[in-house]
Amino acid sequence: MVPEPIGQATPDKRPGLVLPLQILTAGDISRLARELESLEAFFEGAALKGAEVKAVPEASLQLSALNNENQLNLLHSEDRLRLLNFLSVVRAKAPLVHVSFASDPKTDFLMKLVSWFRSNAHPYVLLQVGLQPNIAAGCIVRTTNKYFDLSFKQHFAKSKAKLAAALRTAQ
Amino acid sequence: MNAWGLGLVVGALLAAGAAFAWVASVLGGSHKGHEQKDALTALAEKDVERIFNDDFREELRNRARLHFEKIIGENAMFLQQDLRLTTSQLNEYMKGEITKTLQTEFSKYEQSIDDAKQLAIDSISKTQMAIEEERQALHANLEKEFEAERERLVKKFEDNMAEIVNHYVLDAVGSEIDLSDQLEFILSELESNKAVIVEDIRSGA
Repeated sequence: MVPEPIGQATPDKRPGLVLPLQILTAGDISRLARELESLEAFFEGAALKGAEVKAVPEASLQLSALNNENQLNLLHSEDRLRLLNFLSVVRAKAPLVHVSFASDPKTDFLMKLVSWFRSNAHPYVLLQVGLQPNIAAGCIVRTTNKYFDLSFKQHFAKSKAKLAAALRTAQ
Repeated sequence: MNAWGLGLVVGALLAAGAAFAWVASVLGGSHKGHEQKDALTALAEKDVERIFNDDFREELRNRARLHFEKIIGENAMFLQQDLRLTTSQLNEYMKGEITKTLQTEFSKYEQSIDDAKQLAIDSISKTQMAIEEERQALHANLEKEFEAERERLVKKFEDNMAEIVNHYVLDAVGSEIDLSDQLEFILSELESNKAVIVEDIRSGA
């Protein structure tokens, strides 16, 4: 059973928020939270000055994606607060998957990868990307309690009998 | 003339004196008695004195000396010849003895050398046999060690084969492998482990 999105069971019965694929890591969540806090401070400052804010200051691509996919309006304090709570809960409870690659992966690659995790395991899976140059190719995945070596090295180890047979034939 | 000749001459002279004295005594007869006999004796003595005077004696001495010197010289010559002959014979004898002794010693020495040579040959043969045995044992041991080392290396290689191939792939094409090209492989691997991964993520969430 796929877990329900956070917020779906809230008392106001509003649908749960969606975590866009652009938001990949726990660092992204923290950065978005800081950005939202800054935005909130901006609106508080404007309210103290009595100025009316008609447009949201230019937000980051990730915040814009989060806002658009959830159809929220950052001009509304309630939506900003909802997003802040959502990010706080995600940061605290979202499952973290460590993935190590031989080289630094590109964002679109990570988006495809996190898409698999979010569609198959949990909608709020966050990645923690690491580097292990000695694995040549593939990746190493570490979940809460498990370790999955999906590298070529492990692939070679599994095929050791075939490789040995090939080498003996070559001799 | 030797001593015998001189003795004969002196004896002949004495015999002639005695015969003359006897004839005189016979001729004088008993008529004249002792006087005549004394006269004859005195005459004989006188003749003897005349014959054997100092010159004659000196002559006899000289002759005897010459004869003696001749005899001495001859004897010396004979002695010298004998001595030379003896020396020559002695030399030959010594040569023979020395040669025989040397031959004996040489034969003994040669025998000793042959014995020592044979002993050395035997010793060398034994040493060669021992070395050959040692070499064969060493060769067998080395072959055994080589085989064990080869097996150990092969086993080590097979044990670390994945690491070695991975290292080779990393060195050979590591810089050319793009992560985007690996996405399909990674997703297929994730699909292979999907149940365990999903279970662990959901249980930890």
